[in-house]
Amino acid sequence: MSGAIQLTEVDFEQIKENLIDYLKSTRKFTDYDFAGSNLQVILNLISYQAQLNAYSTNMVANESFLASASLRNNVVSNAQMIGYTPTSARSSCLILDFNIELEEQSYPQGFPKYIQVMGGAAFNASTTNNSFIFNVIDTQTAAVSKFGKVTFKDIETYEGVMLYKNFTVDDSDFNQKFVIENPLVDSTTIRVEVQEDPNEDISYLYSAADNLVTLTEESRVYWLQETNDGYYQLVFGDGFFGKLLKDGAKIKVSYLVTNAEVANGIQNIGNIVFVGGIIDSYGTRITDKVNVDRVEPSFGGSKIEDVSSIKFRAPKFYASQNRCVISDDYETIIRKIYPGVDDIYVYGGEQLPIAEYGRVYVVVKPTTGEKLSNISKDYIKNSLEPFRVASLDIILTDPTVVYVETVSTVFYNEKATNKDPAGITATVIDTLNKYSEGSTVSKFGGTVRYSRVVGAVDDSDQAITRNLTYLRMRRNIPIVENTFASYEICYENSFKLDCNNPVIYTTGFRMELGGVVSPNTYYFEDDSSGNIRLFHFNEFNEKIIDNKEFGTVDYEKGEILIGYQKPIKFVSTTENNSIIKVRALPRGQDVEAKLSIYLDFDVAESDINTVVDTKIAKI
Amino acid sequence: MSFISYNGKNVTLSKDVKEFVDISLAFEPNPITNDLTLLTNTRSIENSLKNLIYYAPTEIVFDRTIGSGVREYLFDIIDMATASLLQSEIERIINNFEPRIELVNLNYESYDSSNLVGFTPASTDGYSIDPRNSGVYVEAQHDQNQFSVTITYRIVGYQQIFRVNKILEPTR
Repeated sequence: MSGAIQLTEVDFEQIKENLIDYLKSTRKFTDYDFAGSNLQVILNLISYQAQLNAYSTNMVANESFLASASLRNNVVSNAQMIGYTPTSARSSCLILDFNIELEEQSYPQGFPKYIQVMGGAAFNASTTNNSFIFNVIDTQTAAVSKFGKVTFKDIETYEGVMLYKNFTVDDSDFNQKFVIENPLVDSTTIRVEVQEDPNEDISYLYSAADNLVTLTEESRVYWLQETNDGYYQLVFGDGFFGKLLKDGAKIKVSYLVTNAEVANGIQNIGNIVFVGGIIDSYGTRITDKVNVDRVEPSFGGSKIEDVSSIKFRAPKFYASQNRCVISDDYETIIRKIYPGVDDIYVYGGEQLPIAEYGRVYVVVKPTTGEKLSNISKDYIKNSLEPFRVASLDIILTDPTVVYVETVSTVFYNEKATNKDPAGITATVIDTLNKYSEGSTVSKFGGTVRYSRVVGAVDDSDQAITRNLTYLRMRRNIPIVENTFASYEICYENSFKLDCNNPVIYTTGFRMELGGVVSPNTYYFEDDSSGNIRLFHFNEFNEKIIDNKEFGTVDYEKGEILIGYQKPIKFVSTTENNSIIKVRALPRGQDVEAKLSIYLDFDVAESDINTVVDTKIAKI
Repeated sequence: MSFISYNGKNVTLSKDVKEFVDISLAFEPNPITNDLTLLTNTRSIENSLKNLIYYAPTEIVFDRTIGSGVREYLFDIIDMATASLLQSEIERIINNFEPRIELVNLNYESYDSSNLVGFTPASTDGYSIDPRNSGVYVEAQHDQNQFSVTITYRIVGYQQIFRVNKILEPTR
C-alpha cells in the first residue's frame, strides 16, 4: 500500500530515501536501488529539485529576519527597517598643532589677514612599514600675527585618500541612485555639495540628516544608507522632508577611502611632513615651511562594521531610541560613535560611596591600551551631547585594569607523550589563551574561575596528570616621576591572610629619600599586619628594610595606600613606561571584577612550570 | 509450480522469480498498453551498464564517486594501451556499482555451453588464453577511431551467461 510521499525534508539523501520508500510500497518498479538505473536518474532529479525548493524556502525565511539573516545585504536592509545604519570604516584621526612663519620680504604690502589650509591631503606620516596620508576634511583658517606667525591648534586630520564623485540628477531615470561605489569609505568624511540650478553657478553644502523631526521642505539634507556590497547610497529629500533636487542639479561628493585601524598609533613627530596646499587671504599659494609642534597619537581607525556586530547592535540601537537614558543606551551609542572599544561600564553618581547626583560615569576600555586619550574622551563626550538627557552630566573615566596571572606547576607523564616540558607548557598556554578569550573573562564584571583554570590546564594534554595552581592579581601603576604624590591601589578583591609570608610584592623602582635620590632599587611588600614596608637588597643580596610604615594595606577591601601620611617621590622604575607592577594574592580562589574594574586574564605574564610527575600510581 | 506432500496434504511450491524493472527515459508510450515503456531484466541491466559507463564523476548530485573516466580515454590515442586502461576502468565501475551482475571470464571458468545466451566464445588451443573470453574485453579499432567493448556477465543467482557488445567512439 503506497502512502504519501514526504518531500518536506531539507536533506537530499533523506528526500531520496522517502521516494524509494514510496516506490518500495508500490512494488511496480524494482531498480530504484541501483546506481546506473534510469529510475535513479529520475529519483536524483526529483530529490534535487525538492531539496533546492526546501533550501531556498528556508533561506528566504531566514534572510527575512534580522536574527537569522546571514548575507550582509539582507542583514543591512533588515537593520535599516529599524533605523540603523551600520558604521562605515573609520579613518584614523591625527590631531596636531603646527605653525608657519611667513617671510616679511614676500609681503611688501603687509602680511595677509589670515591663511587657509585647503581641504584634502595635508600630512604624510610614515611608520616603519607604511606611509599614510592624513587629510583636512574642511578648510581650516587661522589668523596671521603681526610678526607673520600663524598657529593652527588641535587640527583634526583623517587618514585616507580623498576621492570625488559627481552626479547629475536625471528625472527621466525613475530608478536613479547616487551610490558611492567603494566599501572603504569613511561615511563621517562624506561632504555633499549641490549646484541646485544647473544654470546658476552656486553650490550649497548639504548635511547628513538623522531624523525627520526638525526638517522642512527647504532643509538641505541627505540621508545615507548602505546598499549592496558595503557601498553607501545618498538619498535626498522628497520636497516635504528635505529639499527636492531638480532635474539637472549637479551633486559633488567628496569622501575619504581609508586604511582603517592600520594607521592608528602614529605619533613620531619627525616622520610627519606637510604635503597640503595653503593659500593666504590674497589668494596666493604659500610654500613656506610648516613646523609641526605637537602630535597626539592617531586613534579611532576601524573596519566597516561586520555582520555579527550589526545583528548584535541594531536591536539595541532601536531599543535605545537614539537617546541615552539607561546604561545599555550609553553602551550602544558609544560603540556607534567610537567603534574601537572593548567594553563599556556605565554607572550613576548616586552609586558612589559619597553620592554625586546628576552625574553619569562612563568607563571605557579601548581595544588597544588600558585607557583612552583625553582627546578621545572629549570626542566621545561631545558626540554624546545630542543623545544625553538634559541636566545629566557625563563623565568619562578610565577603567581600573586588574590583570589576573596564573602560577602553575604542571606535572605530566613523560611516557604518555613525546612532547618535552616546553611543548607541554606551550599547549597549556594555548589552552589558557582560549579560556581568556571566553565571553565571561576579560570584561567589566568578568570573573576568572579557579576551578575552570585548573580544569583547563588538566585537559590541555592527555599526558598531564595534575597541576598545582593559584591565581595572582596584578596592577600596573603608572608613577608620577619626580613629583611628590600619594597612591591608592585598589583591587576590589580581598587579599589573602598569611602570617608568615607577604602577599603583596612589586617590581623595582628608584625614589628620593630625605631629599636625595637614592642609588638603590627599592621594592615594597606587606608585613602581614596591615603595613607596607619599603626595602632594598644590599651588595650581599641581603634584604634591608628601609621604612616599616611606608604605607598601609586593607586586606578586606583589597586596597593599598602609599604616601598618604607623607607624600613620596618616585624617580624611575625598572619596568618600561614608568610603571610599577604590584602583585597581590587573592583571598578567595576566584577573582571577580566589581564596579569599574576591568579584568584582563594575562597569560603572557603567567608562570607555567612543567615537570615530570614522579608520583604516578603504578598500574 | 510443483507439489509436495506434507502431512498427507499437497502443498504448492512456487518460486518468486526476481525481476528487474526499470523505466525507459525515452518516455514513449507502449503501443499496446499506452503506458510507460518498461525495461526489464537484461535490458534493464544493459541500460544500467551503459549509464554507468557514460556518467562522468561528479555528474550525479551528492555522490561524486559514481561515474567513470571512459570519456577521457576515448579522446586518447586509440591503441592497445588505452584499451587496457579502458578495460580496467569498465571492470572497476561494474564491480563497484552494478551488484546485480558478475563478470564471467570464460578462459578460467567451467560452463555449460547451453547456458550461453546467443553467442559462442572465442575458441582457444587449450594451452593459451584468449582475451576475448574475459569479462570485459576492449578492442582498439584505430582505423575507425573507436573502441569495441564486449562484456560477458551472469546475473547473480542465475546460470545463463549473457554477452553485450558496444562501440565507443569519441563525439564532440
